[in-house]
Amino acid sequence: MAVAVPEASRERLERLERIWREPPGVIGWITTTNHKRIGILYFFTALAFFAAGGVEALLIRTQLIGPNGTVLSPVEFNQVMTMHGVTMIFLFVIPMSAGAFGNYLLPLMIGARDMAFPRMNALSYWIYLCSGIFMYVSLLGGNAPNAGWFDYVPLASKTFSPGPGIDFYALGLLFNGISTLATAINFIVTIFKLRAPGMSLNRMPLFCFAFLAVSFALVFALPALNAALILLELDRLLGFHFYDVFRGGDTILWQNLFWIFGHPEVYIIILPAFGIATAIIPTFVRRRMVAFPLVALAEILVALIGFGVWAHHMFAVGLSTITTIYFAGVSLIIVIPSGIQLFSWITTIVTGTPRFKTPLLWIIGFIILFILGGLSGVMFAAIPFDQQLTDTYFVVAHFHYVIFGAAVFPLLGGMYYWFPKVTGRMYHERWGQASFWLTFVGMNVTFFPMHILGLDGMPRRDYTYSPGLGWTGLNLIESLGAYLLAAGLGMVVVNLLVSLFRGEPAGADPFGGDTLEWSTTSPPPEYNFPVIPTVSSPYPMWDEEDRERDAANLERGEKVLEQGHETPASTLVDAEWDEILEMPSGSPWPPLLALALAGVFALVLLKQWLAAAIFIALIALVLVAWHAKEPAEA
Amino acid sequence: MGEVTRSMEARGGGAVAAVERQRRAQPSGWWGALLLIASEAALFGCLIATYFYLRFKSGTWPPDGIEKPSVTLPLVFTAMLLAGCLPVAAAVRAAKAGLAKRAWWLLALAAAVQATYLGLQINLLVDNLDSFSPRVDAYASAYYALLGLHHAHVAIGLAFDLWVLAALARGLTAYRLTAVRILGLYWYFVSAMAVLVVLTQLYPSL
Amino acid sequence: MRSPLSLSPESPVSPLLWYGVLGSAVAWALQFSSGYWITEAQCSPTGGQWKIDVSAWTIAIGAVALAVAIGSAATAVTLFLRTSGVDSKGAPPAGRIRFLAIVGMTVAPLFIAMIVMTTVGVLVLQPCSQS
Repeated sequence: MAVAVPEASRERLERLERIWREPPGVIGWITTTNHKRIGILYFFTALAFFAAGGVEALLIRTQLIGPNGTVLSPVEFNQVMTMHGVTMIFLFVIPMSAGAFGNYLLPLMIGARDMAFPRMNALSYWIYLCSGIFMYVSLLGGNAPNAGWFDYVPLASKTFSPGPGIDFYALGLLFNGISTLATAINFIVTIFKLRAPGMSLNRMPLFCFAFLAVSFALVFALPALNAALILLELDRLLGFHFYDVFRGGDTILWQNLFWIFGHPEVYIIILPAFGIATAIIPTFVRRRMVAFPLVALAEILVALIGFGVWAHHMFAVGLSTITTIYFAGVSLIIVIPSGIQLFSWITTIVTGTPRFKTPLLWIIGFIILFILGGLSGVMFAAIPFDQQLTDTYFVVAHFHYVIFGAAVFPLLGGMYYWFPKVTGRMYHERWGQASFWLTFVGMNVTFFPMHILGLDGMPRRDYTYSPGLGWTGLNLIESLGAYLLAAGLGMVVVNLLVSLFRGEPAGADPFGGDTLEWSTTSPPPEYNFPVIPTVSSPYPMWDEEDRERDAANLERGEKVLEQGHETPASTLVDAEWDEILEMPSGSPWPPLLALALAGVFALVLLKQWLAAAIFIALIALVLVAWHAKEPAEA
Repeated sequence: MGEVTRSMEARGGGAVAAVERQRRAQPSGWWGALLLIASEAALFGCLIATYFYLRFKSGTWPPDGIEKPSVTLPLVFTAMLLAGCLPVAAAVRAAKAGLAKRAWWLLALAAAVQATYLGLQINLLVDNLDSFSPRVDAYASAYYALLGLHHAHVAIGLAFDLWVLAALARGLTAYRLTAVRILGLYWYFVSAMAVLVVLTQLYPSL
Repeated sequence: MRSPLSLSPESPVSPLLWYGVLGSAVAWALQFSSGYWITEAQCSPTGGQWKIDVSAWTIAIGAVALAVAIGSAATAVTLFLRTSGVDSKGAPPAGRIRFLAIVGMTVAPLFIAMIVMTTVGVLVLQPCSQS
């Protein structure tokens, strides 16, 4: 409901606006520390990388549309296939879900005015941008990484990949990882410390639980990837022997380290989508989520147990049975938390009063696709089954169902859902529904036949295939499906773009949402909330008394925090008000630090050690400058 | 509501100490640093796991041609670094009580101990390099990578020491107190890692 | 500072409360990691040199982990019963305790299942045969 604004309140709003205003124009965007602006920067950058990854996908599908394809040479195919995976996972899905959705919505959902570390938030974005450009530079001169997105040794070793492609991969991901780690730390501290007083852990929206789980998973998974990559580069650039079998090293070491990261990574990919689903469902079925504590714990449990299943990617590698049995057992049990969530979502929808608007359609599509993807996934927990179907198109089918179907569908639904909040305008409903159906059909036509192809023996990553193997027909169908899918996604983009300029004004709360972002104007003001909200449940917008108390507080000047760039901090578990924090405002140092870091990585790639050391010293100087202006002085 | 402090405004020993006494939750920066440290600890864990993973694949360890590491000096140096945690802890306590000058001198003492430690360790490392290079085999690679990672963290810690000393010389604020506390966390972490690293390094000789 | 054992579940940092929530998870994590390393050590190319009795260690570690996990489940159930009638979305501390007790009761059976499944699996399978 819109805030009715009497005189005294209007003065407070103007004061808050002056305090939180950022410089206009490009300078404002480059030096921004506002979480909403950073979210928008992430959104458009991630969308650009989605397009790049999509082009790569269409190239792959066009190459495979018929046997003995000649669209891509084998060399080109390996690079395109690798970049498709790397782009979609590291440069699209995580930045979009955590960087765009997470950054924009988390402070709003917890009743805060910004993230815990606004400047580090900006740094995360600039590092992301620089790392993405760094990796795409490799395409110039045909030096893109070409060993698949999980880059196994010995193929990725210097002996078999002497060019710089793998170095772009390793250094690019090390670079990118800094951004993601910073974001994760920011989310955890924000969620624990900056919740509005009264929002104890058991009253926090499920969206926030999902992001808490994602962030903890990132903090402990990224180091494994970093270790793997550092050891790889030590081997490649300095001649060490971690992965060199002839000198006491071990190629399986790479697989272990990579998948200790890699499996939690796929849960990291999907958890934000769970969070988005749990935000959309209650709104559109006008019912609180069934078994709230169970859904909250299931989100955290998936992230936790996800650390214990990594070697199910290695069942065909020659490990002993008594080692692999640990992973088989845990991989079977990890289905249960996902099942808990599915049952809760479905029960909530069936026992509520659903309004089948576009966002809910995407979530229902997600539920169907997640069930299919989850079922094909749990089949792999059976070691004998896995050993027949590993590295075939059955795997490709499985992970596209869970990544595209289960991670991307909620993102698309979320784009529609929060579009009115971010832009102030409504999307076109009919075109929205059409875009859903086209994408849903396209997705199934593209990826369902891959299950059959896999069972028929088609290996993954093949750059082409011979006629007469029985694979031709299905490959044709899949490629046509891919074009359909591209059209569906194109329709989403066009709908949102056109609605941006021609959509109906949306108002603060067009859907009757349950969480706090719907209490602000659309788009929200720089300072998010004129009054720090009073909270007594995970569905604050449906607590009328609390919202009336907010209006009264604004009148009286209570909990307005207008003495500066301020937001409250509370105790970690029970959210009792503990202190008032002064937050930093715009700063040029984050983009400069990102540039300096880009310099370091580029120089290491070129083996210019001295120059790289100079840039490291530069980084130290930038950090000193960054911290010279303490927030209270800002 | 009147009891809630604007903690960042505290300047000078008395005000900062008062804010410290009143807070119930640790500052955001402290939690953020703890999480970063957890991540770095996981990185060390991966490297130590790598060392033992490679050990399990090997017959003799270290492989023929490399001597077992000598035990005395590394242990002595590690004890030195651990001892350096005492002035660090005292400095943190002093800063929390608002005693900026005392905290400064204690940190300076700690920094001197830590710098000496790093110098001695680098010296030892250079000696090691004379007898075997990391390019010999996987044992050597793991040995030097682990030590190198640890020494890099010590070096960064020293740079952090210098920055905190410079900031603290200008007086105590709530922000700088958080910096001192984070510095304390960092050195406890580096010292704990030093113990694990030295035990791993010396494992063939123990 | 009061002794940790004297902190009632009402306190946000009560060890009892967090044992009820996290105890089974920690038990599983330790059983899992130690089990992985034992099997890796024994079944590696040079593993025979330490003559590790995998079965004995697996049973011992599994038993301890199971005991800790069952204790954690019991604690969660006790706290759940102690907060009967409280809404899990209610005000802390009671609401928060109820919420966390539900969490503990739900996760414990899963971790117990994993501990039992993997322990039995190791005992049933032939050690160090390639899978």
